[in-house]
Amino acid sequence: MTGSTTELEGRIRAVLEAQTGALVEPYLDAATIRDAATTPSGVGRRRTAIGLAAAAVVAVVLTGAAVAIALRDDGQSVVTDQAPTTTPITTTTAPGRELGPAPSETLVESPTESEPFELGAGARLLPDPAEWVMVSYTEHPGSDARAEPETTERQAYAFERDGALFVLLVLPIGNDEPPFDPEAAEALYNRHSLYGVTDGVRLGFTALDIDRATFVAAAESLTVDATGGWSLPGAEVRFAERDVDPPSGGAQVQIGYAPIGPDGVPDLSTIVQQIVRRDGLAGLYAELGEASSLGVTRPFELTEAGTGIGTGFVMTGSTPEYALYHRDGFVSSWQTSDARVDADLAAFVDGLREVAGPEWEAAIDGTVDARRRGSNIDPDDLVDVPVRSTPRLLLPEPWRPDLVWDESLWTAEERSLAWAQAELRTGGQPGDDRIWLQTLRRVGSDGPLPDALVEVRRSAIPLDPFTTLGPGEERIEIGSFTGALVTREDVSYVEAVDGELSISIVTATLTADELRSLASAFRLRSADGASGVDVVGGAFEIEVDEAGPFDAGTGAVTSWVVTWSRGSGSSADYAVVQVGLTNAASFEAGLVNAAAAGAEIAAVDDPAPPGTRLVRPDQGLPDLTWFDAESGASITISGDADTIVDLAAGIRTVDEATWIATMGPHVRPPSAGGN
Amino acid sequence: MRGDPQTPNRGPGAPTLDRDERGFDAVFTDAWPWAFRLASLLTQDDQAGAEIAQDALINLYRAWDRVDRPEAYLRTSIVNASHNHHRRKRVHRAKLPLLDRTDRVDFAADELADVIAGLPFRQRAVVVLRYYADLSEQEIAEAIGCRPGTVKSLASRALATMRKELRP
Repeated sequence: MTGSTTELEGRIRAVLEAQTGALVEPYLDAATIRDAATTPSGVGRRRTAIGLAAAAVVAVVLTGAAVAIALRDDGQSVVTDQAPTTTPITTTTAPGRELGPAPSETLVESPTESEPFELGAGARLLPDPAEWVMVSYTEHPGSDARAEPETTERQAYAFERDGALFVLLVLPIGNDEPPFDPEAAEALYNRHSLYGVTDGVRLGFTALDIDRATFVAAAESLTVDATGGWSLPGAEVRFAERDVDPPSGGAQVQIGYAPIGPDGVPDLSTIVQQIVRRDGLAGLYAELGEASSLGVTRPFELTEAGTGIGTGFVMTGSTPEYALYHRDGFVSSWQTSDARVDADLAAFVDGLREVAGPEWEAAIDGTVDARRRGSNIDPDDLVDVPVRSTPRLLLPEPWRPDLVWDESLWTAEERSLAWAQAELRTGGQPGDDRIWLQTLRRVGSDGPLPDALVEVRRSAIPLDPFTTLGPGEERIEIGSFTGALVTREDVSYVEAVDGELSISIVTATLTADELRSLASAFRLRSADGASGVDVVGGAFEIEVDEAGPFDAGTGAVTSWVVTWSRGSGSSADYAVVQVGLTNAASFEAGLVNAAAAGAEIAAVDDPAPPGTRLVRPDQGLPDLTWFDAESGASITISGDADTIVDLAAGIRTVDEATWIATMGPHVRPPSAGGN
Repeated sequence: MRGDPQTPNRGPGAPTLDRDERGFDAVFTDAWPWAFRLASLLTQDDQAGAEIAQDALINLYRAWDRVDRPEAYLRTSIVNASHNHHRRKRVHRAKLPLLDRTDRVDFAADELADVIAGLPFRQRAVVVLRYYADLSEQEIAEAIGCRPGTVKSLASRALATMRKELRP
């Protein structure tokens, strides 16, 4: 046990206090809430109503061809000469900064989806090699996201006026949007972004780090013509596209970079992830318009390119920091892998340079070695991790795989590295090995669950005996083991210890009296209890009786996970199929533990495989799960309850060749960022 | 005012939302930082927490004339919305378990905080409401829509999980 309950509770309070103490609430005032509450359809499309910092309030009304803005600061309303004629929508903003030099322009047509995906010269960018090293590189072929083309026009504009750059996105309101009242309009102003909804479209209007007054004036003057095209009077149109393709769901490349430490070792805890996709300049502006409220934005240029200058923006102070760049028909985005990572993304992008093919290929080839050095793994330490065959299951048409994690499809070196890194992560940690596992069932019971799960564990250090008992707990002894029987509303369990060994009994079906009776019928098979227990009395029979330890590391190597989808976009169905080597005891233990955690377990009739259970947790997605005794694999499908039950009938087992042909293009190896 | 109970000021953030003497604006001033933190803890996501807290306050304002106990109303709204957020996030995770798995980095984060973040939502909600908001079992049961006995059970499971995960 980890100290007393009081001690643990004290730690919990301290942790929660520390977490909340680190939080800084965004600026928000009651007036904003009141206005939003009285605005039709105001809540559903609020999205970024509150940002990371805000200091004033702007009420904006979109009135067809013109935009009227009422400015309120510190609760005092100041209405401009274009008085609102419809319900005002509140927005928030912060003081601005001066815009840096406007980026140069390279207009590139959006490519078609059918083009093969190969990074162009302008997309082969490496950071300063003295500071950063590529540690992962993965190509994702993607799905055919445009099989069902959108019919609603999307527009993207970039205007420059008085040295300031403005981005305007006009997006269709999706089918999943709440009913829209054309008489109402909404605009939300965060830093220098404004989101508005009017006449069946959503407007995103962004200015990069300008003062609020300039932004408000620009927003006021936005106009729309009879054809639905938008303009900013007096501004130079730097980019305009009236029929922008939706963001591609297709191929992309994911690349990871790690900073090189003073000792020359890559720091794998500070990864900058890059995603490169084929897209036009409109795609960059669209992404910029969506992301620019996250932090202070400045443009950057990569002048070493030689054949042209791309358009890029870096947002610092956001969580996580973020950068975007477009050139030669590719949009790259970089961001820190986690908000807690302190990477200098601005310096990172300033160090980017276009490289020739051989240098690019060398960087990709070096990722495994970079990760090995970052993990401090000596090449001699790499081990030959065996691969065992597991069932290979395909879902029926029209389901298609999205992402595949199958270590049996990795190279031997990748498997070795992944195994070694996993060992490193757990190395030095005191072990808590399960050495025996049994499941018990009441004689005559035919329920979907065993009635009790018995585990014998060996700890690396002697365990503290139970000295105090809390409410609902009573002392219990099993041979030389002493501990507590704990009764809760939905679950009862026993925990008893003797030195380094512990015995636990978990049940989701027995009453406390029945559990007490069961425990009293236990007889240790060996003096130390390390060989499990026999049960006397004839009321219970042992169903599964297996010695451990179960080699979780080896098991993980030959397991696989595949996400499948059906349909496209937000309407797509999905399923996750997971197969892992295990044993019957582990499989049953998982069911009992799930039930103890509040899951509902039910048997599933044909045509599901024999022994299939439907596990419906108290939260989240249900699983359909069964154990294949021949291969020693447990198989789980997660998804919508109706979907997965239907799927059970359509699953088919395929041979290795079919599996490789189907899954190969979707495999995500450890060089994609796995640790 | 309709018999608004005097709510004790408790915990590091829980405000006293007495609507008898004050209007919505005054209640908002006290409630917003607390609501934001509560929602952020429940969702483990400060941006989601901000949106959820804002929505809850919008709903509170809309229901202002009908609500006797703003604090309880706000709590329940935040817990429900956080629960929905958790479901959506769970769906996302289920679709991309590989990313969750492979992008995991061993940061020097607090081990206990990680365990709390990994608890099933209702267990986490009980922990947060009990140890951050300092609510009674009855109040927690009201907020998450269950019986007080279930609160005990959820709390016990959460503590058991924490003990197990933190076991040296």
